[in-house]
Amino acid sequence: MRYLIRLKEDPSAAALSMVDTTIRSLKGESRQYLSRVADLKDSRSRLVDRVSGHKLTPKLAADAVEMANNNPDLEIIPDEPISLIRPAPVGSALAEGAAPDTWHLRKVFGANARADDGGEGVTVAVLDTGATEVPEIAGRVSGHYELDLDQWQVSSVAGGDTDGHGTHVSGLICGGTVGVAPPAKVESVAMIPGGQGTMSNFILAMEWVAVQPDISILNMSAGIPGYRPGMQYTIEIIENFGVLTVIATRNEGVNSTRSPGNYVEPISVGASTRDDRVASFSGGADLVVDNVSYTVPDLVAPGAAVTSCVMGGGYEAWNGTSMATPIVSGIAALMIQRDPEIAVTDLKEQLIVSYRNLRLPAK
Amino acid sequence: LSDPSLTKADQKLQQALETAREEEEITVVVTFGDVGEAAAEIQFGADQGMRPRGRAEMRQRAIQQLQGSTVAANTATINTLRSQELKIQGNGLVGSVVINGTARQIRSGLSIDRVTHASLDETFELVRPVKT
Repeated sequence: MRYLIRLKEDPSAAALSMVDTTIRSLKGESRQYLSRVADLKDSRSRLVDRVSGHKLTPKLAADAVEMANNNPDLEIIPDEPISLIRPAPVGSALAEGAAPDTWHLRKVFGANARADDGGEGVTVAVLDTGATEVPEIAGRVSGHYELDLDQWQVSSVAGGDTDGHGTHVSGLICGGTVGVAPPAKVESVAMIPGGQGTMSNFILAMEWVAVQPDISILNMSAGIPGYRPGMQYTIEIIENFGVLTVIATRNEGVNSTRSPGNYVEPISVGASTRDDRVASFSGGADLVVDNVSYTVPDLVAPGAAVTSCVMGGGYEAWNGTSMATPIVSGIAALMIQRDPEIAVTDLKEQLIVSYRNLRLPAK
Repeated sequence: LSDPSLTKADQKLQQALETAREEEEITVVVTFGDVGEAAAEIQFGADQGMRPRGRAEMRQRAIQQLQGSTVAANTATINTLRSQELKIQGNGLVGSVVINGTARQIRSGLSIDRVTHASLDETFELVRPVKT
């Protein structure tokens, strides 16, 4: 059994001291995996981070239980599987083999068919929740990886998705039916298993991506709400290593963005609708940073009711800038396949100038 | 917080340092440079003899040219942080490493010249799809 221990509101000094004592006792324990209690705020969450965790040895688990039982300011809860709030599918789910609505591909290619070799030889790193190789993307994911923050390494794993989000995203890049660039490859990195991590996850993933020569594009639908400058230098370095970064903005409408998607460096992506409007949920803002003003996102792509593959097989239509982002990554893969030596700066410029200007949503 | 080096900390970290007890451990992402300082993207193609054969070779060359120098540029700073008994994760390749230590150690780490910015190791979340 795994447990989470958390502080009740306004804990006493004694409770904080006890937690500190326990933290110190955990030092030196190898391979402790720490998990986050999302509903705790500020410094208390940091304390609990270090106590709560999984893969505790039986003795440590027993100690933790005893600690909680002896202190009224602490509560212990079994670490049961959490049911994620999955997005409601838009319309009905489609079974495997059914013909999904591919309006997003018509927006990208118009009347033209996808090229058979579109994206051939280009690899996109999808930093997400993992990917399950359902038939739509079977054989198109060239690697599955997970992060081990404790050992500070990225390890190859068999595959699988902790949420389903990464599978849907991957399908829109390399899916045989719904993907923009089916011959492109995806390297699936479970950077935010279960949909949540910390900046540490991001830094480790970036170190890994930087030195993978096959990876040309980084696709990410995650971040920290608001403007946080702490990752900007890293994004700049990654791009100078020759990796285009394509990052979703946010799904809370106008005047909402996340970092690193709201930096100048990456291609930031919002969502558009079937009738060529910016989706009401699509995040964006006019920002002024260090006396430089710019607008986020750089561009929008189909992101409302976009159909892709889901973990159990078949298809669902989802809404989100997360859906628009892989469509842009797929387009970038097509561009790199045509001009493999294109510099990242030129690629960004071509992506942006090649888009049509849509009306902005009402503020 | 009167120490000028604390201006390197973002707002969340400043708040954490204000409220933390001296021996409370904090995990922080520290950055060793400012935007615009990174080595420029490697450009190929001007010299035909240098042209890479495909994207992967181009990336490989960029890695060869940038990896060693980027890590080396940050090694001394990482060693200085380590000498202050901070736990370090990362090699500096992407201009940032994760450090863990007491609030007192973190404050000390911020005083190092090459540390230009520091952020609390905040939660990093998926941009969840939305219902309509």
